[in-house]
Amino acid sequence: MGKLVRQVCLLTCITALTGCASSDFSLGVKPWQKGTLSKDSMQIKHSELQAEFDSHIYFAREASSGGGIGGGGCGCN
Amino acid sequence: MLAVDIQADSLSEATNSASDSAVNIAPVQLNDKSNVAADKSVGSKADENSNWRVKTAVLSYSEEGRIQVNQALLKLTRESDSGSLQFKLDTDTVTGPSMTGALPSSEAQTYSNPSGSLETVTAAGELPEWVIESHRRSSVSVSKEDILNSDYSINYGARYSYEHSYKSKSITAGISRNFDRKNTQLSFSTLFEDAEVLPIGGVVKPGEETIIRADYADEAEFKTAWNNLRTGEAEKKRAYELVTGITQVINRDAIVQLNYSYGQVNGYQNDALKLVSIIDANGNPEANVYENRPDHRERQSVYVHGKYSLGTSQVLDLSYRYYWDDWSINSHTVAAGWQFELGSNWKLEPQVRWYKQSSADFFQQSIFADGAVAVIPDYMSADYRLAATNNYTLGVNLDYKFDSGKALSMRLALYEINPEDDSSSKRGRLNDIDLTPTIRSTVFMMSYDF
Repeated sequence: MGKLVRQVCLLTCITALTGCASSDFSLGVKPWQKGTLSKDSMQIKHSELQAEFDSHIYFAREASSGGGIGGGGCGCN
Repeated sequence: MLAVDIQADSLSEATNSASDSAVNIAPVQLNDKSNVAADKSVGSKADENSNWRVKTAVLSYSEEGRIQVNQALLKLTRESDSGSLQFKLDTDTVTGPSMTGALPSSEAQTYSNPSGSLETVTAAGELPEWVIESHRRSSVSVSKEDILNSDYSINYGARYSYEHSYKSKSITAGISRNFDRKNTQLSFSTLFEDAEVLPIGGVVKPGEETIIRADYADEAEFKTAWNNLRTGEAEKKRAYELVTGITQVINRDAIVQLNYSYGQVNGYQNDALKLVSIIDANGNPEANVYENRPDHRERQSVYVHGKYSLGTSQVLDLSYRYYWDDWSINSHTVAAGWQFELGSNWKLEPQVRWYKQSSADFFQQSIFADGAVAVIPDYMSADYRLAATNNYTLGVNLDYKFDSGKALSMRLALYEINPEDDSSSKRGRLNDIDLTPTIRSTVFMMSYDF
């Protein structure tokens, strides 16, 4: 199950990132097309403080961490 | 004000705990804004537009009938065209009862507290727990990001975290490279942590039975036996993690990040306060032994995070992580947020999160004596955090941005943990008892950007 999920996940991402899903689809934008992408709410690390606190909580209560979410802090009792 | 993304949070995420060994590091994350910053550094005088930002935040995490955590944080960030510098201080205090992992009995049970200074009594039918009166942790970190040119940036930092039972030093470093007019970024980050675990009452011998004063003639005999159950005051733990990632602009409305992380934790990973009960055929505890976990753990995860802009005032945020380790734990985490801009100052974001975890292969809630001397396995833990579980979070964020640029954020979330019992550990009366009841908690956070 785990292996299958990993393979599907990787395949999906590679497909999306390389644009293989459609022959007339190209990734990326011109510099002058980045208006929306430059908004705070479109940043990958938007609300980093909230993510930090959340990861603190989840890290102390769940057995998983890493990969961009999770991690951080104690309060581990 | 430039909003250059900085890497300090990879440090904050790199902390570890005596009871739940793990490290985490976020890879270098270049997004459109840092691209903008990098562009400006070319041909311009470095640090020309530097300034400091101050951020403060408080958090309250409260479990129904159990742990309460209060945390405060101060963050100072100096940003410029050539990078950023960040200092961070935070502290938290934990109070309240915490389950020991021992099982309820049909009679009252007496336990020595972790330091051995006194005994506590658990009523018949109740789950044994320690009451933490006040446990404080503090940490300080510094980190820096240097934008070397329009293609490369590096980041590095250090962190120190202190609490009575855990001291941790960690360093992190990363590099990122832009491609295709900064539509693509590859990143690589590393983290190393060196920690000292100092359990309250000392490092206990795994698999040994707990004792109480009543079994000894006097205090001196008890103390001798108590000390014989311990090997010292501290143990070492070292961890490292490598994260590599790609961030890709899909189109003018979407951006995706994919990370892979690999890490190892080596050294002491037991929770000296956690117990496993030896039970009889009726399910009553005859004794309790200290848990034992492997001293090596290898962890991996794949993480995908996407942002999609819907029109001019809504953003959809989706993420998924698959995690697996050599303790046979694997997990799926799905999180989603939908942000609405309400006018020019307000933002509202409802969020949901689902987390499903399998149990560690050495998770067991009892050792069955079966009328003979109990066979203590090499590794065993009844810590509910190593049990199979389905957890849910429902939350909402509310942000207000003042015309001056200052910002106030609030977050309220309800978090539910639903651990599953290890059915093979149950005998007799235990079959009718939920040994890992649902834990419901409320999270409130407030932050202010000066």
